Amino acid sequence: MNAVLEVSNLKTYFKKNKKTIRAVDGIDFEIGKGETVALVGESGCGKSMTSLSIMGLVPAPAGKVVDGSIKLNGVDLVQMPEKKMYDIRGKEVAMIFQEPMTSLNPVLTIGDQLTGVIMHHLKVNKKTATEKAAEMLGIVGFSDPLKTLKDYPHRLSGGMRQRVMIAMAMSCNPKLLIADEPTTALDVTIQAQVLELMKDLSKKFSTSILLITHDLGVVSELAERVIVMYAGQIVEISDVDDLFEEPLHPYTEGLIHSIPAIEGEITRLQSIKGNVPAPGTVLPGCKFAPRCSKAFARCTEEVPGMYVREDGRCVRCFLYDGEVVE
Amino acid sequence: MTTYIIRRCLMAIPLLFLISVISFGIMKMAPGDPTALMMDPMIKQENLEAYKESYGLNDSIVVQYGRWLGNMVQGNFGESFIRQGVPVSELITARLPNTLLLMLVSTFIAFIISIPLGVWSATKRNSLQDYAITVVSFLGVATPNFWIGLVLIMVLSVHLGWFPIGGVATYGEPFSIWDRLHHLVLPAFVLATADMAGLTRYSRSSMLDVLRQDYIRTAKANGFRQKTVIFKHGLRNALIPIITIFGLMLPSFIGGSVIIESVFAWPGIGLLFMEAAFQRDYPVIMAVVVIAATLVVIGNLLADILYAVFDPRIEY
Repeated sequence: MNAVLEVSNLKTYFKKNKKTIRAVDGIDFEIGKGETVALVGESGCGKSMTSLSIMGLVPAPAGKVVDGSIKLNGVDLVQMPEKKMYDIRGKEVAMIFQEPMTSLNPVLTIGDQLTGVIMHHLKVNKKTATEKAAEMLGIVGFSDPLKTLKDYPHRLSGGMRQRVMIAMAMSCNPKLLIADEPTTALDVTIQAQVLELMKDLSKKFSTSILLITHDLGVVSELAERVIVMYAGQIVEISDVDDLFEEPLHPYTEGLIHSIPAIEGEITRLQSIKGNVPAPGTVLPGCKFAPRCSKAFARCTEEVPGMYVREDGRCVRCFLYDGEVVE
Repeated sequence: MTTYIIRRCLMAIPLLFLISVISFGIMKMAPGDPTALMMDPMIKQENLEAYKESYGLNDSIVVQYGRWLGNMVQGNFGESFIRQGVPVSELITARLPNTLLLMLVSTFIAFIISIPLGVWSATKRNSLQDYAITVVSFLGVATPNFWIGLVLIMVLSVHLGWFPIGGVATYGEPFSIWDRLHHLVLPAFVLATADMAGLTRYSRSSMLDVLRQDYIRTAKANGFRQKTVIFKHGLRNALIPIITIFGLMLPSFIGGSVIIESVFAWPGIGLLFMEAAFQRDYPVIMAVVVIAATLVVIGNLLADILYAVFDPRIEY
C-alpha cells in the first residue's frame, strides 16, 4: 500500500500559563490512496488538533508541533515553510468543518468563494473558474448551479451549505480530504445524503479521507479503517468490521457498548465511568487506567506500548502483552 | 428600498417636531432674553416693555412656539433678533457649507486613520504595536478635543507658523483651493480626534471578532494568504458593526463642531449657534437646532442604507 499520508511520532503541544498541555502526544498512522480512515475519540482527545497539525493551522503562538513528521506523498509538511503551505492547503489537503452554517463567508456569494479557491490554486481565469465551480456544484447535487453561484450563503440550508463546502474542498482535486465532524450539525436524513456524497466523491476522484468524528454510526457508514484516540494517544487501530465485532482496547469496548442496540434485550445503556483526564495531567501509567474496568497493578505503574497483533491490529494495552509480535 | 426610505422620512417628521418642542422649552427656561443684551441698561422700564411687546416676547410660550412653528413649516425661519433685519435663512446658507465641509472632511479623516489602525492592531494582537495603539487610543478618549485644538494652535500655528490660527481663508486674498485646505487641515483633524480613538477600538474589536469566525478558518484552510484572508474575507464583515458607529458619530460631530468652530474661529453654524445661544437670539438658535436634528436623522438613515449595501443578509 502506498501511503498518501504518513504521520509519525507527531507531538503537538500547547503552552497555557506556563503549563504544557500535550494535545497530541506522539501518534503514528498512515492513510493509503483512496482509503477512508476514521479518527475516533471523545471531545478533547486531540483529534481536531491532529487535523489542524496536518493543515499547519495549529493556533500559534500557544500551540506548536514540537516533534514528529507529517509526510504527504513523502514530503514533510512540518518542515515546510508557511509560504509553501499556501499551495498545499486547499489543493493537496482540503478540509471541511463541523459547522456548515458559519463556515461560509456571509458577505461573499457562493460563486465568489468557490471561484476564489479555484483561481488561487489552479491559476485559471475567472471564466474557467466559474465553469469549474458550476460543474462542482452540479456534482454535489445542485440542480441549478448557475443560480446557486449568485446566491449568498444565508439563502441555503445547512445541508446545502455543507454540499457547497464539499464542492469547495473537492474543486482542486485534493489528495487528502480532512472531514472534521462533517455531519454533526446536520439532521439525520441530511447526514445520510452527505455521507453518501462523500463516499461517491472519494471513489470518483480516488481521494483519501481522514474522517474525524465521535459518531460511531458515521464511522461504520464511511470508514474502512478506524483509529481510536484517547488523551492525545492512539489506543487502537483496526479495520472497521473487526473493531465493531471484537473491540480490543477496553476504551473502544466502552465506546461501542455505549451505543444503544436496536436488536436484542433492552438493558440499561452502559457508559464509561469517569472523565477524560484534565489536559496537562501526567499519569505514571496508562492514561485510561483510572477509568478502566480491566485495569490491574501494572497499568498504573508502566506506560503501555503499542502492541501489533498477528492479524495486523494495533492496540495500546497490557492485556495483549502475550500476543505481541513486534 | 424606496418605500423604506419614504417611510423613514415620514417617521422623521414627528421626531423633529418633538425635538423642536423640547429645545424651545429649554431655550425659554434659560434666564434672560434678547432685550437684555440689545438694550441700553439705563433704558426706561416702559420702553423695554414696548420692545418686548413688539418682538412678541410677552406672549405665552405656547403662542410663541406656535408662531415659530407656523412660520417654520412655510420655510420661514424669521429674522435674527440681534442682527436686526437679517433673515435667519441668510445666516444659515452663508455658514452651513463651511460646517458641512468641516464635518465631511473630519469624518473622512477619522475613518481613513482609525479603521486601518484598528485592523492593524487586531492582526498584531498583544504585540508592542497593539499596546501602543491602545494606550494612544485611551489617551485620545480621555483628552477633550478643544484642548488638543488649543495645543495644536499654540505649537503648530503660533510657534512654528505652519498653519493659520483660524478662519476659513486668508482675509483679502483671492479664492484658492490650496489656501482653503491649509485652513481646513487643523480644525478637521482636531474634530476628527473626538471619535478617532473610539473608532480605532471598535475596529480592533470588530476585526478580532471576525478573525475568530469559522469562515476565516475556512479561508485559511483554502490556502489564502494572510492578507487575502484579512482584506477579502475579513474586512467587509468587520465593517458592518462600524456602520453603527458612523450613525452614532454624526451627533457628536455636530456637538463637537460647536466647540471646534469657536476654537478655530471657523464661520460655520456651530459658531453661529454659540453666539446665538449667548445672545439669546431665539430664531437663530431654533433654526440651527432644526438643521442639526435633520442632519442627524439623515445620518442615521444613511447608516441604515449602508447596512444593506455591506451586508447581503439585510434587505429592506
